[in-house]
Amino acid sequence: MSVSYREKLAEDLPKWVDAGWVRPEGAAAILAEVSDETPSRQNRIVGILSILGAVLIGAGAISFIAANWQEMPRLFRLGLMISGLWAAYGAGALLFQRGYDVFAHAAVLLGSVVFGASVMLVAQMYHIHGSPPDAVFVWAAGALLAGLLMGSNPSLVLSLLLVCFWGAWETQLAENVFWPFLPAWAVVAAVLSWRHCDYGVKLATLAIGAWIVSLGYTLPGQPHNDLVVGIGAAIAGCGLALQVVGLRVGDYGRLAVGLGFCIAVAGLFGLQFIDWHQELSSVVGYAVVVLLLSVAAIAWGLRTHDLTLSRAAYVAFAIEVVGLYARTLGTLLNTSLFFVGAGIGVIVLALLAFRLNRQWSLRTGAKS
Amino acid sequence: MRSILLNKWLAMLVVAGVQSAVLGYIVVERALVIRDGREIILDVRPVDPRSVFRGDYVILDYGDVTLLGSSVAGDLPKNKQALFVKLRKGGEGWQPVTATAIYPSDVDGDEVVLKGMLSSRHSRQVRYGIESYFVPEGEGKQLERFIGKGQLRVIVAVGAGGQAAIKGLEVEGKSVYIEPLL
Repeated sequence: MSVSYREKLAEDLPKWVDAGWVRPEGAAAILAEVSDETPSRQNRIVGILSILGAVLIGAGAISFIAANWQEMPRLFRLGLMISGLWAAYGAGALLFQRGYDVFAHAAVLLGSVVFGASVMLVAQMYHIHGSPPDAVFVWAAGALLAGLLMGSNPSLVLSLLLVCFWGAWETQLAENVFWPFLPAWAVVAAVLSWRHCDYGVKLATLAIGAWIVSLGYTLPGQPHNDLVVGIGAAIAGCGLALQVVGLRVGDYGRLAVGLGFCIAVAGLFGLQFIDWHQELSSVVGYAVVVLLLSVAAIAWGLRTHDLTLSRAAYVAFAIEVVGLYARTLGTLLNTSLFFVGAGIGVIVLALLAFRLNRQWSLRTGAKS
Repeated sequence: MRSILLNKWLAMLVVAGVQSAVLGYIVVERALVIRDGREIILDVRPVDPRSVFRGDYVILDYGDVTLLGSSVAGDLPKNKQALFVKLRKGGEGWQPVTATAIYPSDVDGDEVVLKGMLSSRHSRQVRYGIESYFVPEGEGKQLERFIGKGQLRVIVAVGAGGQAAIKGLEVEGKSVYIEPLL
């Protein structure tokens, strides 16, 4: 909450009380709420700084292992790492107990990173080549355990990032869809959701979106972007249904609409710009669908105050226009015709929206 | 569940304990293979990359031992499934004879079974998990020179279940480096 906003409220609220819009006790509550937020804001900066500190110390531990320093016997190095791990979690428990939660989260995160460094050290000690992503999976499981039992979201987010890294690595090695990613992702995402970790849930949504889009290319045979579009449409459909029915299952309806939209549009982009064998007429068809979907998503985002969806739709609209320009529909002249036609269509939509808005305001004006 | 989560000290003990136990398990499992496993000696060829997490290492290419030629009997399992390769010692060192999804029951004295994983079904190549040798920063080059001259061989310990672990290095028939157990 910015100071200027608080000052503005302090200035405006008495006027609103005088005008009878806000009751005096309401004004007092609003001011109390705003000033209550300030320490939490400061706390957040402390939290971010301590997490960054923990990440840096953890990176130091990993580089120390990578240096394979011979002056120190390796058993001693392992002992050092395991003591570091105990010390970090112990410090986390102590800090939680004393009420310094922000520092406690950083300590638990450091513990999880040191655990990862220890796994790498053991692999180095015994020259374990095996399947290198397995080490990342063990690390992810350790970070999940620490985040879940110690009640620390940063460690859970680390676990999510490691699961993604593991999945991407295995996919690249197998050159095929890596299905075990799905249950691993689901477990971490469920814990993040249960812990009400807002940014973690968003990150998990992003991860599953990327994975579904990647299905278009990792499934054997020709690209399967049509399947990606179908999955995206189904997810967005479920999200819309949740929003229309008005079920407040957290913000999952809204999240699903955004996710489904992005997946479907990514699939449509794939169909237009990556599957080069597509017929010209289908490319035009897909382009029309993307433009219409974008317009619909912008409108839906504005209506449901979902700024993220609107912004994603603006970006999709822009990518479609730039992409089509690069792809050219047969000839530049045809592309030009398409743009002019699409432009006229969008302006007609704007006029329709304008008329609807006017009728709506007239009707509500007449009622009051 | 909640009560465990609320007691941070208990949680800390469980987390640090489980994580230490996982590390301990890997260490003990490897140390036992090196201590008790059967020794075989394999020729290697070099490649030199670097691992982000684990530092400098030399990639060891075991040549024919990792290639299941058309003469190797047995149905190959899918990628990512364990595979047991039976090697037989001949005039040109160890050569694969069979590759099976389960541990073979008939193993003679001049044969050894290695557990591996198919890295590419197409090229019929197997990884045994002993393809990298981690070295102190900057020492990879010296090791590579040995390998380049064809003088370096790897002493591999093979556990009862076919798990392979690098036990040491040999130059011109003399072991130059023996891995400590711990």
